[in-house]
Amino acid sequence: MNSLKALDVSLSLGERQILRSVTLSVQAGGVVGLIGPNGAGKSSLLRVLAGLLAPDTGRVTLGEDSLASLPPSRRARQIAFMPQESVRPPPMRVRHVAALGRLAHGESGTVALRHPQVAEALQKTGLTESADRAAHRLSGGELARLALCRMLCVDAPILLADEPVAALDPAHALMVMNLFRQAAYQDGKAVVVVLHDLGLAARFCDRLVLMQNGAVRAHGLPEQVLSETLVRSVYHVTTQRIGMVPVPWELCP
Amino acid sequence: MTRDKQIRSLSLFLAACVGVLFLVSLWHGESSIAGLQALQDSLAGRHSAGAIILEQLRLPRALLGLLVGGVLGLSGATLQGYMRNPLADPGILGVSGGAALGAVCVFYTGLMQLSLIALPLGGLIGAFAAVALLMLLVGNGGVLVLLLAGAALSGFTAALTALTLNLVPSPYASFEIMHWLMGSLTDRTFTDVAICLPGSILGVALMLTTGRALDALTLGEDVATSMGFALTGWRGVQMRVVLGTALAVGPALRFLAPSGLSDWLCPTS
Repeated sequence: MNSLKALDVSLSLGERQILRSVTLSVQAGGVVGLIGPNGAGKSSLLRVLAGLLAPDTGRVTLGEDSLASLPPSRRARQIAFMPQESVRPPPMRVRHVAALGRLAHGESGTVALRHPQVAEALQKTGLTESADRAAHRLSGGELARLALCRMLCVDAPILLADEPVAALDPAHALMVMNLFRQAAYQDGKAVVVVLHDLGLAARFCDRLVLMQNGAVRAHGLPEQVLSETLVRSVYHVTTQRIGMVPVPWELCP
Repeated sequence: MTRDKQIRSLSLFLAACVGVLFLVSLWHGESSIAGLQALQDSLAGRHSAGAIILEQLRLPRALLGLLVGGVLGLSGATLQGYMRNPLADPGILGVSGGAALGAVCVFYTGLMQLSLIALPLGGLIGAFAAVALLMLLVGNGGVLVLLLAGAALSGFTAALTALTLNLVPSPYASFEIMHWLMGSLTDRTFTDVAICLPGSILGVALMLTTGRALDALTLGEDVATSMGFALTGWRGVQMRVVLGTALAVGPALRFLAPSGLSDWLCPTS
C-alpha cells in the first residue's frame, strides 16, 4: 500500500489560518489518532488528507503521486473518508445506504448490493440485523455505525474518520475502535481517526498527533504525547491518571 | 409485500396510467371520432376526417404532453436530488424565467413573423443566456450559492418580462404574450415535436449521467467528493444538472407555463 503524506501543509480560510506547516505521514498497518481542542485544525487536516481541501502551500502525496494530480476515481478507491456529521440518509434501507460505498468502484444497484464487502461491513458494524430497516429512522449512534459501514464498503487501503465515536455509547465506541485496529493490524490498512476521548486515543492508537492552533504541537507514542504537562498546556485542564490514561479532571485556574 | 415490491408495483401502475391517459387523449377531443375506425384509416393511408384529426392534431398533442411532462419530471427529480430539497424545480434556477424572457423578446420585436422556429429558438437562447449568467455568478460555489443565484436570476428575469409586457405597444400583443406564457398543447404539429425532441434527448442524456453522483450526494457533498465525483467545474455534476435542465426544459416551456406546479409536483409525487 502507498503511504499518505502531508508535507509542510498550510491552509487559510478567509483571514484565519487553519493549518500551519503541518507534516504528517500515514503508513499501512497502523492507527494514527488526531487529537487536540476544538478548532485546532484536526478536521481540516483530515479533509486535506482526503483531497477534499487543497492546501495553500505544501503538498499531499499518495505514494509517489501528488494527491491533487490523481484522478478523483483513483483517489476514491485508495482513500475512504467518513465526515464528522452524518447526513440523515433518504428513506432507503440500511443495506442500500451501505452499498453506496461501492460507488467508489463504479458499482451500483444489485452489483453493489451483492458485493461480499457489503455483507462483511454490515456484520462488522453490528448492522446485519438492521439491514432491512429504513435508514432514516435509525438512532444517532446507529447512523454513525452506518456511516462507518459505508466507509468500510469502499474497501480502500486508507481510512480517514472524523470523530467516528462521538455519537456512540461506550460499548459501540469500543467496537468501532477495535474495528479500526483490526483493519490496521489484520488487513494492513492505514487508519487516521480524529478523537476527543483521550482514553480511547491512548488505548487504540499507535501514534498520536496533538494539534493546537493549526500546528502539530506533539506527535509520537501515546504515552509521550499524553503527558500531563502537554495535556494541561493544550487543553487547559488538570488530569488524573487512571492506569495509563490521563483523565481530564478540572479546568485550570 | 416488501417496500421494494411496493415501489415496483406503484411504478408499473403509474406507467400504465400514463399509457391509458395517452390513449384517452388520442380518442378524446373537441370533435368526437370513432377511434378504432380512425386508427384503421390512418394505418391504411386513407385520409378520412377521423384519421386526419388523429394524425395531425391529437397524436402530436399527446406526444408533446408526454415529452414535456417527462422532461419536467426528470429535471425536477434531478434538481431535487442535487439540491436535496423536495421543492426544487427548473424555475428555481431562473432557467424557466430566462426562457420566458427570451420568447417574450421574440414576440416584442416581431421576430416570430420570420420563422416558425423563432419562438422556441428565442426560448432556448433565453434559457442558455440564463444558464451562462447563472454559472458566471456561481463559479465554484456549491448548492447553496446555486440556489441563491438562481433565486436572484429568477426574480431578475421575471422583472424584465413584466417590463417588456408593460412596454408592448398594443393590448392585443400583450394578450398574445400572456396567452403564450400560460402555455398550451392545443393545435400543435409534428414540427413542434421535432423542435422539442433534440434538446430533450440531449438534456435527458446529460441528466442521466449524474445518476450515480446523485446517489452519492444523498450522503452529503463531502462523501460524494470523497467517492470520486466532481461536483463543481466544467465537467462537474452541477454543470451537467443545470445544462441538462436548460436543454430539456428551454424548448418545452412553450407548451407549459414557465413556473408551473408540474415542475415540482411531477417528481415529488
